[in-house]
Amino acid sequence: MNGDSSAVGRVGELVHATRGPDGPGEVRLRIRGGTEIYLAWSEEPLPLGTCVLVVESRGARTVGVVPWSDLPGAR
Amino acid sequence: MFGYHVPAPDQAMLISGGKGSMGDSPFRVVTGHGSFAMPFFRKVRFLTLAMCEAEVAEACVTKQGIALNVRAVIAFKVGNDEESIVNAGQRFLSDQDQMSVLTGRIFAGHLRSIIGSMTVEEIVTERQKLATEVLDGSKAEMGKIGLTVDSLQIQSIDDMKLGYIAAMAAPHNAAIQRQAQIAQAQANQAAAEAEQESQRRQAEYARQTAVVQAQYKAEVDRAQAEASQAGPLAQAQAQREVIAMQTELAQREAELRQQQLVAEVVKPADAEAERVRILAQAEAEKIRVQAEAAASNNRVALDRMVIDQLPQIVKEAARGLSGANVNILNGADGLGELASGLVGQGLAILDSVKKGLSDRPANQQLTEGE
Repeated sequence: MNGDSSAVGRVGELVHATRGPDGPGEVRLRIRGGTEIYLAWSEEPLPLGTCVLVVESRGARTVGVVPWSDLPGAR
Repeated sequence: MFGYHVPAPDQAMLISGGKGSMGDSPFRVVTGHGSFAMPFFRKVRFLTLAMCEAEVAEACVTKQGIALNVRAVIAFKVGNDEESIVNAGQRFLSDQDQMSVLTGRIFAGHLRSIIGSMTVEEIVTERQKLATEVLDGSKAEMGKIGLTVDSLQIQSIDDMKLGYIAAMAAPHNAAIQRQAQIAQAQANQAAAEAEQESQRRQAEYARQTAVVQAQYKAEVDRAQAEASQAGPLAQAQAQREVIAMQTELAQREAELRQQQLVAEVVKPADAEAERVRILAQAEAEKIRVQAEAAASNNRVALDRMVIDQLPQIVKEAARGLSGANVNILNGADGLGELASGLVGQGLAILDSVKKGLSDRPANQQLTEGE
């Protein structure tokens, strides 16, 4: 497998709102040619549909995200 | 080819037996393309990445303490990343059908906790809360064994004849039924109105039709009466003309008869009358003349007597004269004396004549002889 398969550094959209320390949300990432759903933890609660950047991997199918303003043409 | 293996699109190929080149993984994970695996020195197994489903039928107790029989279906698959594939492969590769069974058993417990944190109304209505609860309770645990949950759907909720759900639905049901009854009543009312309106229109139309029919019948009767009168009328007119012609004929005949009478009776009668009148006139004239003659009969007789006696008179006078021996000496005077003498004589004669006419009036003048 190539090294590009990591979710870290990718930009996705929350399909479930995160609740900060109370619980995870879910983020949809474009990865390996398709889209996959990862559990997403964030420092602060983020509403549904927020564009986030994956900044860390927290184990099996779980990532940490921060809000991210998508740059035009970045994808 | 010998020793070359290609996984299906929904499979991950796990190649074990090598060492060193695989990093931390206990085996090589190949997805999407083929790989050469040395026979006898490498084991090749395939792990399905396709969607699987597990059904759960569990008696759960809700937040309000109501026991429910819940049937749910879970759709899941092996995660697509290498870590999930390794986790799932190590757990389920030898018996991949065990994935559904084990997932169902895992979710039976999770479902109990999920239902226990929700009310019946929330289960029925709030899909987002159910998804959040599933997210909290099971997705992280499932992710640890390399499975990703695509959806949890609750198929049916049975309150085991407790009547709670029916009672929960009762007010709404009653309201719906009330509205339905109201709508039904309004529909019936509208239908009755429409029907009566229709009957009213029908009566109206029937009345108009009857009126029009009566009018037409009256016209037809009038026309028929005129037609039936036309024959006698024409006959009467013809008879009148015939009578008029007969009258004229009678008048002509009367005129003809009159003319005939005039010609045959009146004219002869007139002529006769004229003749009689003329005759009578003539007779009257004659009578008048006779009467006059009779009236003047004395005078005429006198005159005739005088005339008859004139020669006698003259003869007497002559005889007197012859006896007188008269000489005419004095010329014209002598003649005058003679004449006057004659007159005197004549008057005397006349007187004597008069004396001879006894029935003669004395005052009647006698001019003859002068």
